[in-house]
Amino acid sequence: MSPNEFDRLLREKFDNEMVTFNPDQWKRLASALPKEKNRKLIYIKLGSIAAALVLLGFGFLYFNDSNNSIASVDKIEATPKASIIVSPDLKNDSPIKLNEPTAKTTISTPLKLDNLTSSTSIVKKNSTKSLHQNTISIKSLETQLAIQEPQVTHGFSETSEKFILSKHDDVVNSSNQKIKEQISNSALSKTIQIADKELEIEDVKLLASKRTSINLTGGVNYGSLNLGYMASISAKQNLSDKLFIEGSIGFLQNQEVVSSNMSSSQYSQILNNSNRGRPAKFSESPSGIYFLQLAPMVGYEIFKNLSVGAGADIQRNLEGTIDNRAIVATEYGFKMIPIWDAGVTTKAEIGLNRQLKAGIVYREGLNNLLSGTQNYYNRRYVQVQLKLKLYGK
Amino acid sequence: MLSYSEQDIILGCKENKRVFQEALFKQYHSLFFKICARYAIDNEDTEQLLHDGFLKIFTHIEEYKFAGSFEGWMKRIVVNNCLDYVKSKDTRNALNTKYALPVEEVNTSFSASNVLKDIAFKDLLKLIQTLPPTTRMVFNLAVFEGYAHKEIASLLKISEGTSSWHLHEARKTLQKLILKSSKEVNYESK
Repeated sequence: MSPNEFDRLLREKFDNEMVTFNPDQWKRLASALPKEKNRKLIYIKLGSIAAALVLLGFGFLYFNDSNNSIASVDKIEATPKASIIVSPDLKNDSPIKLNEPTAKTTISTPLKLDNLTSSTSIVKKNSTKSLHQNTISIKSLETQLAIQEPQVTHGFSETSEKFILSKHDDVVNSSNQKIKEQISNSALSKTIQIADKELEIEDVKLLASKRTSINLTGGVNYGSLNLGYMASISAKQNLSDKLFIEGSIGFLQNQEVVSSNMSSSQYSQILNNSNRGRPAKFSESPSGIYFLQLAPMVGYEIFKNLSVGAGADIQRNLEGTIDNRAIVATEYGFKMIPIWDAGVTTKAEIGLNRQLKAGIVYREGLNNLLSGTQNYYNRRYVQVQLKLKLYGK
Repeated sequence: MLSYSEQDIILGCKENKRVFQEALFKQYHSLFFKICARYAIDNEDTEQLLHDGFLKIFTHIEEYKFAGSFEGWMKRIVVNNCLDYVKSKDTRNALNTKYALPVEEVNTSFSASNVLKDIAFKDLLKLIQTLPPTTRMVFNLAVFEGYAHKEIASLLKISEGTSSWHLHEARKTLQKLILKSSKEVNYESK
């Protein structure tokens, strides 16, 4: 038989033979392939980053917007837009005063309250200081009107995330085990080396995806409601090697806030000019306002030491109630400090070392948007944070 | 089962989509298994070579620019992977302990067509796997992959004459082994 004939017969023998497909072999191969990208997850990631950037941009654009700034006495005196105007026929027996220990500059801001038979005189404390440093209080105003609080619901389900992570871990673990078993029985040292490297990479990814950390955070915020401080404790859970969720609970303070205390209904009366005419007194008492803060967020690690995130920010005014809430004066009228203050935050964070991170947060209030009014004071601020890792890798 | 065009599969694999990767694996599993089996020493190594070959195809598929046959491009990857395996020092050591002992002369006229038709595929595969490493590589490249001696010589860094000799040796040895195997089967059946 000629060599060509022999070769042809051999080739035919091979060509005619069909090897049956082994699903296990495909599973093993699929587990070794790079993870398939989830398009939905990519869109969520990109959307989060885009939303964070947009919010950050808007925040900076409107940060110095005078529409939300607390008016100085000079501005109130000069601006006819002030919604609270002292009526010229108000009686002198019910003065609304801001006590001034050193200077006696008096401004006559007409307060236009129908049926209100009180005279109002605002005494300027210091011509160079704004109303931030004064306190106005209105007492003895009675009304039945109430202002609805913005109802904000929040929360997220960790169970579904844990389930997904657990399932993912099971699949990866079983796949790795199979690969290890098969490789351990093989004499292919070169292949073993490659497979070992792949396993190491897979293990690193697995570790990264399991990372959980507990952090202590302190921060200084400055914004529309003066200077303040923040301290919180947060927990961070990686959903993948890049994506993570983080939740924090803490205390936040705005100090030296000039505010009046009045009920929501009193505030409504002022807005609606439906006051019954009881006298009101204003007295100076600058003080801090304290909030309990809950802030869940979703973040994405752009680089090893740089991450961005966006999330909700819910704050409870610890001293405010519907019957006694802080009101601040702005150029556009008196605005309520929300009792439940809903907002959104965007954050950029950079790792200084393994334990310490520095971050910058921008916060925008959503109360006016949610309530459909302009009655709430927008607590918009930028916060500089330092975060210390207490636990976790 | 959905059937995809070759272009769909290639584009899907380039986007790392499992459904297209699985389709490609199913389509070429048998062909590449047979290639790998001719170079491997046993079934376990065959599966490992197939695994590595497909892994290389999927991870390098971005480099395929639709120039030339896609099957040819994949075959080159699989064959080169097999050659690397056979050429590796450790594998050669393992192979040297396994490959064929000198075959005693069988002084019988070789009616290969009948014998080859009767011999089981697995048995034929085992016989090819007993060939010495270089002889087997030359034989596989020349007979199954269609390489010329010049290409084989360049690939294995041997002379063309040596390549030719290995091919001759492979044919001669295989024919003897096939006949011997056939006789053993006949003897056992009696």
